[in-house]
Amino acid sequence: MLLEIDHVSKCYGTKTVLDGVSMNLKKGEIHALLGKNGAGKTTLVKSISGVTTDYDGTIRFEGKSIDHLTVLERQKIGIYVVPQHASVIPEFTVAENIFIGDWPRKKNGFVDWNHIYIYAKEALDKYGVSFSPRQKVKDLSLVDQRKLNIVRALFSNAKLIILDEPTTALSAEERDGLFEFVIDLAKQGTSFIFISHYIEEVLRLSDRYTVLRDGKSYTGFSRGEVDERQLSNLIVGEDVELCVRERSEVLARAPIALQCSRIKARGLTDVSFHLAKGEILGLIGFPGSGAREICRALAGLNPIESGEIRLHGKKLRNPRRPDEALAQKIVYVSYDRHAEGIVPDLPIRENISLPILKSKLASLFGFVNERKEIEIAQQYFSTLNIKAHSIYEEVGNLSGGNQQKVVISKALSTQPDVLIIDEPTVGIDVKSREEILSLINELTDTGLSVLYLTNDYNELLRVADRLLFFANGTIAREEINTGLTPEEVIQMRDSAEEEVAS
Amino acid sequence: MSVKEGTTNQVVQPIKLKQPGQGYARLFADNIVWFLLVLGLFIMGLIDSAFFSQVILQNILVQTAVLGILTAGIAHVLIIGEIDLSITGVLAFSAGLGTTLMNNGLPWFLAVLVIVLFGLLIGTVNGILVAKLKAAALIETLAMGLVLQGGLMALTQGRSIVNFPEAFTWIGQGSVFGLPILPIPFLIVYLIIYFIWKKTVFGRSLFATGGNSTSAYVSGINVDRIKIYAFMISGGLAGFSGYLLAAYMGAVTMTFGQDLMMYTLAAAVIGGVSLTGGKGKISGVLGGVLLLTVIQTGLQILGISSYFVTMVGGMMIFIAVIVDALKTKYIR
Repeated sequence: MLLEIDHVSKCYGTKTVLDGVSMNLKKGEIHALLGKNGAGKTTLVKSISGVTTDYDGTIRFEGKSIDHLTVLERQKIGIYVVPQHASVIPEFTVAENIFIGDWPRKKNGFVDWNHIYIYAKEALDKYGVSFSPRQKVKDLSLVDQRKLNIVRALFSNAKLIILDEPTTALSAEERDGLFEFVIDLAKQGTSFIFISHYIEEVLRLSDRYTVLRDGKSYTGFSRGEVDERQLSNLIVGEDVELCVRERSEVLARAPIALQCSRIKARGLTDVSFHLAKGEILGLIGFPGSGAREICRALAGLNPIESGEIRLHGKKLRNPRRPDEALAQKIVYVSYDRHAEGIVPDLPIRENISLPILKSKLASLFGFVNERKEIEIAQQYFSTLNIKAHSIYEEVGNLSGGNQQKVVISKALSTQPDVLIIDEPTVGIDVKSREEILSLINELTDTGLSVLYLTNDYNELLRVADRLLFFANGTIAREEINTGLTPEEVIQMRDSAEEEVAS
Repeated sequence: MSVKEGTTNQVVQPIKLKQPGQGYARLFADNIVWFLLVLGLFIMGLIDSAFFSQVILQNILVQTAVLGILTAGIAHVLIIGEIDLSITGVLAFSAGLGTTLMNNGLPWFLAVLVIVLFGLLIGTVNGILVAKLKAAALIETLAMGLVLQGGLMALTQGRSIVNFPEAFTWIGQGSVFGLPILPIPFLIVYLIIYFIWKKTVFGRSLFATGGNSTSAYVSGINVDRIKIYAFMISGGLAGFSGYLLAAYMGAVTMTFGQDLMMYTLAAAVIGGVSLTGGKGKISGVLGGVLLLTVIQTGLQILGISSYFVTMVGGMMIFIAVIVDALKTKYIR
């Protein structure tokens, strides 16, 4: 056994975060660690990596207890964490990033640049990555940045690499590339602990699984022993009802809510489409294809050069800023909730009320109507089942899933006609995801129209009525979602891309 | 190794429990300025019981007024995560400009108006340069402050501007029912800001912009405008404190108000305003300016040489920054 975790417990104050957690890991094994937000995954990772050392129980690495070792000492013996957010320095080259903190030097003490590039090239070749050591990291794709992080760990003789949600924000192809890379390395003898929210990819990649729930571990499952449903039940501790949308016949005759004609903007050459009242329209496309760009253009985040937007037949002023889109009942939920969603230091209540301060909540002399504010916040707090003390808790203290619920509440508080959601379920747990999906599904019955962009086609096909395929800044294909499978969608997307290219 | 099966169907809510001990530590860290203030008063009283005389306590409030209003202004800019190093320049030049015009025949109330409006104008320029042109506030406002300080020198040619009419100096030197007037505008400004920060749409937008400006922008807040307003308030209140200081001193000297810059930053930070933006309470700022004035006045009253005052001021800023850093590191 490479790593043995033996009844590790950890309390913060009166709260038990880890409660006798056990798991073990062989050489060359890919071991998945699953669990809801707040289940204790982060604390376990910290205990393994040595950020936290005051836990009860024992962790052994290559047969020896490492409980007394610090982070740096554990790195020296080969335990590395590759964090969720790429920890690279964008302005440095690939080689510089690999050698950070440990620069080869010449006799006179200056950095030995020639050798840096030679060594880096060797390392990159050895681990089978294609980018050049002289490239600046900011020019690398996200997946290559993740690979670079892994190479950096390997270069320091890592034996165990902990990948913390490595696939977040990656496209399906990039994800596959990363998986091949990881599997190759595992064959060469490196062990991985793989943390992910996507059960499907966990099943594909991992040899064995451990589930954490409320600080307890459920371990020892090997590939083939459990299926997706069993795992997800184990994660949440109850049966999760997957939200499936009933496609109603009425939709075909529903009036048109949003009508976009010949929209030209950054990354969009010519986009025309319509969205019916109460419809969920799925947007599909590679990064840069125009799918995200149309969302951001409609939200007022990317300027629209020409084209016309109509809502319920009335021509809209093309939004130049998000507040202009909001005023016209179009609201956007960004794919990046940390950067463009939450204000962590503000309480839930003040986050939810941000977009309606100037409209619904404005009272005399610029004062905020606090009674109404609390009422609205309370309403979404209970509807979306946000887990927190109260609406007065700071959003920064919440888990990812609950933060996302706050972001969704914020968007819905404006009572929009058109809701544009961009990757609303990235990095959140299954239960939160289904709660969000069901609420959106319900709201379409009351006339909400939705543009839905996600790379998770399983999820998209469960809720979308119709699909638009984007390529090269325009719409290449349109399909009604009549029981399509993710594989069919991927095929359609790729062929649409090729058609446009030729 | 045994395989445990999930048998429980009940959902345990992941409620974050307050940790014992942390609660007090946090209470202490959040209100450290008031603890230090009480401690400061206590020590001063121990050394010299005359410290608690009405005259001295009044004197502290009077001394605090100018620093307090100046700090209240810059706090707006700190909350949006920017900095305004031009405020002492604004204070000095606008006071110099207004009093010069007044001594050349402008009625005193128009002179006051000129002083405040000039501050507002400079604040607007700062705001537009920072928000719209994305100039780095640190350097831009530093340059602006230098221009204005130099401007005062050019304007006065090194001479002090004196001989103000009584109506002009009344706010700084007058009294009603035997109490000085100067603390009144100071406290009114704080009261108004309290309501603005806590209760208004602008106040909310200010903190949202400071907490995460992109999120605020996507949520429909006109972030550029909020930033410009913050700088305008900073400049306007700097102008106003210039008027108060000129009225209090009865003169505008060449080095008018120059030593206040660092004290405003120290007062704001020790009062809990985060230099990275998004956090701060006006009550904390009030505590910060009172604390700094108590220490300064205390040193004077205790007869400690004025040669030490700057050093002690520096040490206070030092303490403030360390407290802020420790708070970020350990509480949260």
